[in-house]
Amino acid sequence: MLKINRAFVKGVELAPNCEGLHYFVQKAIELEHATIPPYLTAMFSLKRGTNEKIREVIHSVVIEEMLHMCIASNLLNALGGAPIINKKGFVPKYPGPLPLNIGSKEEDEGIVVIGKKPAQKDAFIVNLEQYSLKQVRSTFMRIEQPETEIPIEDKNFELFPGDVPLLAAAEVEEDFATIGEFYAAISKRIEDLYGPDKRLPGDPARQVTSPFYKPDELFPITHCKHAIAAIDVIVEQGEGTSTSPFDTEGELSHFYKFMELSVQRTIHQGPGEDEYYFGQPSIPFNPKGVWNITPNVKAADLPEGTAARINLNEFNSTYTRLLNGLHETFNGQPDYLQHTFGLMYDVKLNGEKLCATPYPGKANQYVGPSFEFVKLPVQEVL
Amino acid sequence: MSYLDSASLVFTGDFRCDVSTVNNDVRHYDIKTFQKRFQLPANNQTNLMNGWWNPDGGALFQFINCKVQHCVGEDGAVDKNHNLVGMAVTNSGDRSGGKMVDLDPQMQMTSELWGVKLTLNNPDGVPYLVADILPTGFRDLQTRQFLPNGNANPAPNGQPLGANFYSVLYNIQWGGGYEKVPLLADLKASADANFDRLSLNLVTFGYYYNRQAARFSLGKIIGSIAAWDKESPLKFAPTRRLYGTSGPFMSFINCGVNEDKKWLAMDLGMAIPLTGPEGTVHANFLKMKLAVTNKGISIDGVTNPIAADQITEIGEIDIADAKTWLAETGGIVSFSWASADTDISSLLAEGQLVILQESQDAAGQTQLTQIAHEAVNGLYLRADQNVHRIDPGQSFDTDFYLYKRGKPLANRQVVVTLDPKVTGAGGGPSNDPDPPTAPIPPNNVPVGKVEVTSPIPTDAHGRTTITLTGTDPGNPRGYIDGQIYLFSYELATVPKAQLNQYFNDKVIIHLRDAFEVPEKPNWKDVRDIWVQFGNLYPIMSHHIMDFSVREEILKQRQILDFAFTRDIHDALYMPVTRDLSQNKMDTLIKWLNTAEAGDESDVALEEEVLMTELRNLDGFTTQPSETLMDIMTLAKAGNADIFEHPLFNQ
Repeated sequence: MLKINRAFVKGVELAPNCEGLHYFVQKAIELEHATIPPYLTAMFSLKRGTNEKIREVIHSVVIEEMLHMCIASNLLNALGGAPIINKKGFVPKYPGPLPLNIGSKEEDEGIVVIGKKPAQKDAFIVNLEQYSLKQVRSTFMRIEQPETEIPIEDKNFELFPGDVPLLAAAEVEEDFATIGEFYAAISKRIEDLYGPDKRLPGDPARQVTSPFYKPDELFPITHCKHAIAAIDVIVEQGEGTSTSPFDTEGELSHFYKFMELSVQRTIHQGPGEDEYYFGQPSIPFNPKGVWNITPNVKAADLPEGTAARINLNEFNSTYTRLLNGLHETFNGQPDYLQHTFGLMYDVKLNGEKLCATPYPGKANQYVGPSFEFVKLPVQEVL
Repeated sequence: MSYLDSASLVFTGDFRCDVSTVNNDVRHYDIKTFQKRFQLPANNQTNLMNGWWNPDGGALFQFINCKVQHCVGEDGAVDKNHNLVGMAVTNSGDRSGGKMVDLDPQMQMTSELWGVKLTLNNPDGVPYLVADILPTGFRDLQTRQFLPNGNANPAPNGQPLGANFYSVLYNIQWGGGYEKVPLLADLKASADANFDRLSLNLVTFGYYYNRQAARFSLGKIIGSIAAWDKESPLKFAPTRRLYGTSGPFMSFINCGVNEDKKWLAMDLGMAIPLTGPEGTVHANFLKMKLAVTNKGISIDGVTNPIAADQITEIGEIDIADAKTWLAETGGIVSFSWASADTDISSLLAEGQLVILQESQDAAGQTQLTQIAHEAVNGLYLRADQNVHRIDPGQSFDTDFYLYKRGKPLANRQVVVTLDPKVTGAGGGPSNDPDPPTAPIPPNNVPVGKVEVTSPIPTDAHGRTTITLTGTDPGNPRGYIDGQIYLFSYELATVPKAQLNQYFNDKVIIHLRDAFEVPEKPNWKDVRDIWVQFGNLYPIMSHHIMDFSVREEILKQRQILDFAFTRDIHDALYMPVTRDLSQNKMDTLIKWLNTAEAGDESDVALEEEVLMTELRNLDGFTTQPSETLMDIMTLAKAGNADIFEHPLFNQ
């Protein structure tokens, strides 16, 4: 289970006013964003024409993570804050811990640790690497694991070699909280500070909506009740509810989507109300349909003047410009969102091309994306 | 006023342009004969052209590594230590780059920049200015790379030519403390007085076609930013022009004269011969002289040597470091005679500019040989808005400007005529062992489909205007929309040869076919358009969606609708090639907004379309009563070859 130091939850609970929540909501934006590079890296590594269903599943999760990042940014604006999306520290280092995660160093987070200091061996390190069942199980499912896991019946379920079994909920130590708890604390604190029908202090003109998301998913947060509803969307889509792997729209939450990929079969409602099982259609994984990309590649690792280096620099420039565009969008120019769509497609095109770009001097190895926030313009050695 | 006779800043660097090349062969537009392999790169061993050198291109155009190298002051002095030197020139820091697209596969000789933004950054990376580049197509294509013996050198990049893009910057946003940089403050003042515009000249060369090279799809670029005058053209610089005297060297050179301050600048960056794509100046062109003919002397461009008393020297071009000179100067050289005794100004008013070289004659005496010269008559006539996309019923204006030695020439009559029918444009090389089978349609026919108003004589700005109006050409090209029409222009009273025109100095029109927007468009109405785009732009079908599959398009209908309803100047505009008529666009948009996923009538239509195409296949006969399934079964049983047909590969 992805654990947050309980200090963050405590910090939320002790926030004296909405300004006191800004830091935590900024961290939430960073966390929501931080899941996207590992998911996209795996998705880009799937060869076109193979593993299409797997691509669809990961894509659907990425779209919702982008939504969650937008919601958290709207929330920070609603609380009178200003999201910071275009700074170097916004993007985590891969391999490395996710924002808010116990793997991170407390002093970096600028927060006093209450209670037991987590042992470094517990650090959950996220890598940017190609799609594999191991990556799904040991990273994606851990990121998304809910507070309460609904049992899914499967008599044929076997661990794959090298799999890291998930921690059972019971193993979670008391000093740690889940992402769901963290969001619940934010929700409760906002309600305590404002009351359900009160207007929030942020400028409504900074709220961002998009025709690409349903109005009950991405909506302006101007009142306390909107904030609570918005947080519910994030938690439900990510972790699901405590009673069903499906959200209220009938769509599987992220954890169970990844579980389907892991088991290579789809989850269905059983005859009983609380019964769920793995069944058909299957989602077979073809390991030959994956580019053998370099885990956690960095532009600086590649020889200067090579097409690989130039293309990776271009990818990072595009990704940086995308974050710049989103920063503009969430800092008073909501209409700017339309200008970022092209960059999202550019990230995808360049990312897929990089996965098919040979790594200089290494046989059968390819480059892959690195998601580095770079100083623009990148100076190429050509 | 031009970028060569006013204060300017000059930058150099690289550019990326990954134009898509499946659409380089017009025959690839025929969906009936399209083959899957046309989406693969050419095979250099077998000469099989397939989808040419960059089938997966995305048409992206962007600046890379571009930095200001020097500034030219109001007095013509080059300042290499100006505060702006080293500042980065980029595209937008927070949105997509622009595009480079051809008008049509049968007119690829004026590829245009669309949706390109230019940013000049301050030392902190904050923009001094961000502006849009008004779409413009290249002109003055000329050979740039030469072997020591003077032959063109296509190695190692595969493209020895270079070209020039001229346009204006508009929608200019100023910031970053620009007001503390006098040159920028002056440029802003000028823009404020001239419709919020500045002039931009871009020289490109050294472009890499070679897929194996690290620099694949990169080239070298030189830019000049200066003031723009509201009475001057938008898409070419109102300069004097020099023309290469012998062989393919230095075909076109722009030169601007500032009479008030007594200086001139010459753009050797657009023309100086190089050894290869890196921009090293050819050894034969390291020492040159710029001169003007003396009173009463005219030079025909053939006669050599030139006697010393025929000319007055303006200055010398002495290139010390052939490797770095172009990158460090942009090839912009300036000469001042403000403190000279000789009255260069009055010589320039009447005389010809000449570029000369010193050599030894047989007797060992130094002699002067001309390598480029201004025309005796000094005339320069050019169409401003020279590329048009016209739907039936639409009208567009083209302005012509006429200059004599850089000054507007009034009261002259421009004559515009439709070119004769041409055949074979937009095909592939003749050594392709397996070329596409579709016929190449002729151009400029049928006649009478573009009405052109007669120009009135040029005004005090040297300007006259024609209006072009299109009527339905009636689908003369069959598998590809509309027709390409080229109009030549000249002066009524001057022999055409004396205008020294660039070969593609034409008004170039893509006139689209008439098309009615259906009341409720179905798959049959739109399928061929989508399939053609899917064939031509594999970057879409390989990475985004398969345009030949109805349900796949509908899955992405929202983003497609978004892209198809952008302003044509937006970098996200679709189709990137901007080659659809408005009514076809409207039909696609209407279909995207009304089609229902899994609509049975539409699915049936798709089957019907397939059936028709199957029945039309050579050597494959079917009975009218057979269903699609029957035909498929038949095909499987006895016509193995049929699976090679594109219908089965879509």
